[in-house]
Amino acid sequence: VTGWVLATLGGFILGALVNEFSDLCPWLARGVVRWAACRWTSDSTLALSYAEEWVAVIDARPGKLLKLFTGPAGGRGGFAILYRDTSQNAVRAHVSETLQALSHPIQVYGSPIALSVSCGLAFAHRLGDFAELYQSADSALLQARRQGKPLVTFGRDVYGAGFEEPGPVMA
Amino acid sequence: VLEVLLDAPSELHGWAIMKAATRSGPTVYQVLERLTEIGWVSARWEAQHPDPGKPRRRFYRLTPVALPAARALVDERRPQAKPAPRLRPSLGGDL
Repeated sequence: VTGWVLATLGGFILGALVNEFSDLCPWLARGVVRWAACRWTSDSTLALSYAEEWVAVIDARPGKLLKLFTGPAGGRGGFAILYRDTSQNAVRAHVSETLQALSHPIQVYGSPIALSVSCGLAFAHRLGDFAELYQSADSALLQARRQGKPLVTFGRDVYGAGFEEPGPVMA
Repeated sequence: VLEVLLDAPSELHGWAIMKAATRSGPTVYQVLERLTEIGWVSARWEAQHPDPGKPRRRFYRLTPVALPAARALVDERRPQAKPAPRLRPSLGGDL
């Protein structure tokens, strides 16, 4: 079963996740960025400014994958990735594998830096109301954070049929 | 981020900073916000992107007053290079 999968990650932007998994619809990118900007700050004027700026950032960024910058669950760093025409299990495996690779400290100027990442995934068979998909992924991210890190959690199926929830996955 | 801005020959836009600093969007923008709040960084919108149809970008640069303190901070945080080990000649016996 294929459809749209939205992954929201909190804690650390994962460069390794940046691949050519999906095409990006420009209109969707603008909508997501505006959404992210509103979550970044409660100042509506500043949010509009960030939204415009981040549209330019996404435009400058090479690749087809949607990357947005948001503060899910209260202002901490995070972002969302939209996978199109793929199965939830493929995304789940991909995200888990990448988070597993991040479980080892990275070296920054010779000092080990431990990373912690939480991830929420939401699945939809069609992209009707993107806000609902985002909310589901965001709720899953919050659930993952509450349960511990690193953790990948699936949200509820946004559009119902044909989805068997696999449950939380330790990465 | 500070190091990138210090080393930049001119002002940089958000994506260029992210790329050079190899840091995520939220990390970079949180730092930029803090630096802007304390007056270390100034930002300006370009009037128009050089390529037609592209969204305009926001450029950041260190303010002149921040330069000495920024340089001192980066130097302080930058790991010092380890001195080369001193080789003591062995003259065939204990010295």
